[in-house]
Amino acid sequence: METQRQVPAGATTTATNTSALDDALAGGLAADALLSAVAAGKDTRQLTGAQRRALLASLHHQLGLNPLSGAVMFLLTNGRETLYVKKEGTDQIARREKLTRETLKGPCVETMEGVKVVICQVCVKHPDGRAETCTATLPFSAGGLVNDLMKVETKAKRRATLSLCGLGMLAEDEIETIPGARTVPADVLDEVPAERDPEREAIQAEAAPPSAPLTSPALDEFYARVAEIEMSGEAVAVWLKHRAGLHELAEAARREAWDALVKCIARVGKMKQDGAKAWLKKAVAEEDARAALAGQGSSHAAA
Amino acid sequence: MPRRDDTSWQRTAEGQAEHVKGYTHWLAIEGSARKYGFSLGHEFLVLLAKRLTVVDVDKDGATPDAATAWRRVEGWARQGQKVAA
Repeated sequence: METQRQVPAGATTTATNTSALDDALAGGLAADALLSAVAAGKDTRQLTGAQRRALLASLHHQLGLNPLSGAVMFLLTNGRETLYVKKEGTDQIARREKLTRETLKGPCVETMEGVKVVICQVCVKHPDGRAETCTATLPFSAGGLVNDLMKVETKAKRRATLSLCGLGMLAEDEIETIPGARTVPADVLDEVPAERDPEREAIQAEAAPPSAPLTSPALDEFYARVAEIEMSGEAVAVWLKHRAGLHELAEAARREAWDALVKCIARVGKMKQDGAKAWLKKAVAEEDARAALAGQGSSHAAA
Repeated sequence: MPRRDDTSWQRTAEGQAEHVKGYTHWLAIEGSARKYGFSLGHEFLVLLAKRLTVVDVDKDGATPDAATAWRRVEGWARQGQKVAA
């Protein structure tokens, strides 16, 4: 998009980032400098409320969005604040760019790795001939399926729209699938102290842990429980109990946990590893289906 | 033993464990596994399998190991109830 600002040359180093932000802070509401600093990866929590509001207004202007629609907001995730585009924003972009959005697949429910998901695939085409296909998923819940089918289609459209327009920003729908993510009002950090310690910030930035940890108390508890398993059937309950906690871990740690459980089933069930893996997938899917049915039953009973 | 039409034991793990303790013969366990199948979850079948390792004692005192007990209970649960010809 021709209206988007370029990141200043050399703005990728920490020193330059700090310098750009300092300049912005020194210059009061220099929205362009603020945008440059944020584009260079600076945490927006360092800004005052007034600067944050100015930043949002400037970003709306740069993206050609109606600032009154609140199309861009702040999002707090993994201890870091980023900007994300709300549905109003993506819809405005699609209309302005005259994008054609076509649903290729779904929305429907599919089983992947033994887990049911609601899935939708959308293709967005630009009048200049470029196209982008995006897939969106949601965890299956029988109780919320009616809404989830609509939600996943909207999510796929927004992802594809943002991708085609080269806007590497989160869409509103993705927030709920990020553990601990929450939106932050523009002026909520007015009380943030102005004094900052650049040295401490640099050390923190260098020593920053990966966004998803490789270990956690939940993982330790999981392995302790796996060691106690005597029958294959117990493995299903162990996985279901710890699944949510493991979801917050890095992919490698989760994969390792799953493999450990498969090995345990193969050992106690006297099965081959492939058989144990297939069995566990099937068993987890059955339990999910049963839980979904039970949820439906209880909601009907409540009605 | 609870009344036959009282199904409150099914709602909690403790209730299920207490109920399964009432099975003193492997045929009772088979009947339960076939009747409830997976409707009460894998945890209930685990209780049945563990109970099977206790009550299914051979003439020479041998009992099925955990893997065998689980395989038998899971098999009954998958087959479901027998239908009379």
